[in-house]
Amino acid sequence: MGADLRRWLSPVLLLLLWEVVGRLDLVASGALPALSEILARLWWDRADYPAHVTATLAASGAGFVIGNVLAVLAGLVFVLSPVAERLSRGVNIAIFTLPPIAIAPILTLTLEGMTPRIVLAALGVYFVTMQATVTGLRQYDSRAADVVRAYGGGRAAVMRLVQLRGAVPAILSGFRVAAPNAVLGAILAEFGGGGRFGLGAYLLGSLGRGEPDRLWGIGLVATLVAGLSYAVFALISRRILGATLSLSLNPAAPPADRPVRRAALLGLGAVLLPFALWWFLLWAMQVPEMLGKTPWGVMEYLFVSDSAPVARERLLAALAETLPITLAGLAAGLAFAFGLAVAGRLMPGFTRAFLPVALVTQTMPLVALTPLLVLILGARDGSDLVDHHIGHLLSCLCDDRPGYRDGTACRTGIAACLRGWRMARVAAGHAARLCAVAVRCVAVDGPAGIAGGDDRGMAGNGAGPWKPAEPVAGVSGFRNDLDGGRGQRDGFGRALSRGAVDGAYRPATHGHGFAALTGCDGHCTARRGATGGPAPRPSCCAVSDSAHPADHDMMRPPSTLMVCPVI
Amino acid sequence: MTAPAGIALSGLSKTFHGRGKRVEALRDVSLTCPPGSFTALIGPSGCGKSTVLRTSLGLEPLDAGRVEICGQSPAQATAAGVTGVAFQDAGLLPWRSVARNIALPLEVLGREVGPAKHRIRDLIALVGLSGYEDALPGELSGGMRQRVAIARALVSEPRVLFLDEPFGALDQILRRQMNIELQRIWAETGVTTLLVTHGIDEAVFLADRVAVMQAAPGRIVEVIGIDLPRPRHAALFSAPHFHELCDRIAGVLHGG
Ligand SMILES: Nc1ncnc2c1ncn2[C@@H]1O[C@H](COP(=O)(O)OP(=O)(O)OP(=O)(O)O)[C@@H](O)[C@H]1O
Ligand SMILES: [Mg+2]
Repeated sequence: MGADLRRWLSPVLLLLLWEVVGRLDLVASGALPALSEILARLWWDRADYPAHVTATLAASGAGFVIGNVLAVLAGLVFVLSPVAERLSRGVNIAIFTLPPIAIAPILTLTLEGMTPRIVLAALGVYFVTMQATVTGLRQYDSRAADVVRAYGGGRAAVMRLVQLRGAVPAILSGFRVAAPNAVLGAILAEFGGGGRFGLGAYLLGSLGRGEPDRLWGIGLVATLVAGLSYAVFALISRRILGATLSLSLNPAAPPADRPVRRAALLGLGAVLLPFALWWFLLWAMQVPEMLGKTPWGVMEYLFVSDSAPVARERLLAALAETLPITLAGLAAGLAFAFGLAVAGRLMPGFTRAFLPVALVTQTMPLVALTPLLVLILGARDGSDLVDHHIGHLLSCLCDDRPGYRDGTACRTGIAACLRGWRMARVAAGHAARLCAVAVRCVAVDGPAGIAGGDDRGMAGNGAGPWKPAEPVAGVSGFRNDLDGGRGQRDGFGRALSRGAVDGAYRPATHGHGFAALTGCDGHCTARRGATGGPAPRPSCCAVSDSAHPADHDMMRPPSTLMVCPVI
Repeated sequence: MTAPAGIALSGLSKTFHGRGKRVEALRDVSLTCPPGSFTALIGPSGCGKSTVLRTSLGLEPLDAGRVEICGQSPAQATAAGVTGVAFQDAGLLPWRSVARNIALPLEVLGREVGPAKHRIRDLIALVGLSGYEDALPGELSGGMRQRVAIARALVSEPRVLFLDEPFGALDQILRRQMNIELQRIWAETGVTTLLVTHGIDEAVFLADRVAVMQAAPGRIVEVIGIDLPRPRHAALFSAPHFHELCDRIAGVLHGG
């Protein structure tokens, strides 16, 4: 009884604190409403939700199934043929590091209807499950395989009798982690594309109204949907695992080293394959030249064309702005996760208390979180950091948590090692992701500057792909008003653009730098002059342009709006 | 199938190359087990006993030498269901019940499991696990798992049996009991048996011949014939001639 009480004490205290803080409007002048206010608003809006939730569930469900089927099949192929795995490594890493937010606009422009949502959900699912499948299939008990082989069983028999069933727990845990990813992907595509229904569309439509309680409500529902999808698979895997995991494993010996020349050839193939696929997809989907640059087009843009030096300079400047924030966020996230892990070791009670928070950060779609973070945290670097924090919490803490908890002592040790390794991997992933963003960015943002139009597509909530950016700008205006009382007003233009960039593009966790990549033109200065605020950074100008009422003109040539949509 | 169910190992050599290290696990190992014979393989830990077994079954490629089981290559013999095997580690599938684990060789060989239901139940009783048919390996002790592996080795009614320290995890009393059971099965079925063991008394009690190995490089240094009359009973463990034989083997083991 007493232990029960203590377990519930900290969450309850946390909720109480939230309530008080919200009621007294202590955070960013009301950007964090009290829980009761959010729930009341949720109840008020209850008629809106079913259609949106259903749409999101349909898209993420379809993407989840398709992505997982492909992932399991791919995992199977990779385990059966190490050559195939080596060759596909580049493609796999590209899929892993592609920020969904970067391809969302391309997908919404090139595909129709529900397809972009499904594709994005499937992409979010693929790598996690593929990796889990490969790991699961490889970690079989060599002694059991010996028994099968000692009765004349070949590779197929070992696969069927030992490996497949043995991989089920790993694949299930892959599903568990992938499920929220699918929801996130669907919401992201909804956020970036047209369409009336879906939580992302709802979020987008509500951004302009400046009602934090509704935004929070949508965020909570999105979290709930993602969290439930996680819980369903957590439950299923717990059911299936039962007593079957408690035997120790005699891992199969690692495969022998390959001859150097062959390894080099395979490595080359792995590097080339993503580019071949990139080319093929552009060709197969008949993406217009303006919208999708071929690998050669990017090379040309960066190194050959007349504007190449300018383009390179922009890219580097953008990197210079994004990199420090990324690294700081990375360090903070890692430190925080390490701290949590250590604290969890020393004080199990602390971990228990923190688990709900960690779960929420795992399942809360960053898209939903970002506008809120922007509202709550004035400082832009601050909210960038928090994004990273959450990304790391997500990867470092939550993934391992369940296995860490219900494992035997031996597995706990393994989990601890795994955690360290996984952090390193996540770190590597971030570095690679950064490069991938740069490449993608340039790929889409050609000299033609089609990107600017895209920005409107991202930000608007109209019917066509070219839409005014007003709603997002509205949020920033709102934020600006909130901040105004605290003397943080930094010019309407800047706030407007900040809001647009933050709101629309932050979710990818690397915000402004690459927005700046697309550069600003004369309008920026004009706006600065008009508002009299401090000089906005380059990253702000472009969006402030698109937020200008004049830009709502659909016919305006996109070349003057050069915001890269792929941040 | 008409070929005599013997084992003929001639000139087996095997060197492992692991990360900069070279281990000569076998050098020119030759051993012939006539059909229906019982041979024990004894030697210090790491001398290559398990490697003899694994190469005989074709699980490990040989650098040199030839293996014939019933006049066939290991691949043919194993696929034909001639052989039965229990490894040093039980190697059970954790998600399969005891009964289904025992049925595994039948599935690999493509035989029907249904008709073997009775046989599986009898085997479970034989190894003293009645009542545990539906238990999962995770719910068994180490010794119980080993007994499941022994039952599994017998399920396909092999004509040649390879056993790698099958009683290593059993207590002394159960071990004696299992020794007597194994002798009975061997006598009833006439299965050619190659038993790897660390127990000198066990080897002498069960075998017609004991092959003694030495390590680095792994080789057979002597094959000692055991001329004790059969059937052998538990009383034999205290007979003077029995101890004479044991002492002789111990002498060879210690490099005498
Ligand atoms: N897969 C392998 N890779 C590298 N070395 C191996 C491998 N398998 C066995 N060895 C080496 O070969 C030698 C013989 O091993 P083996 O397992 O046959 O010994 P053993 O006589 O069965 O020992 P024990 O009585 O302890 O079971 C050992 O030195 C071992 O280190
Ligand atoms: Mg051995």
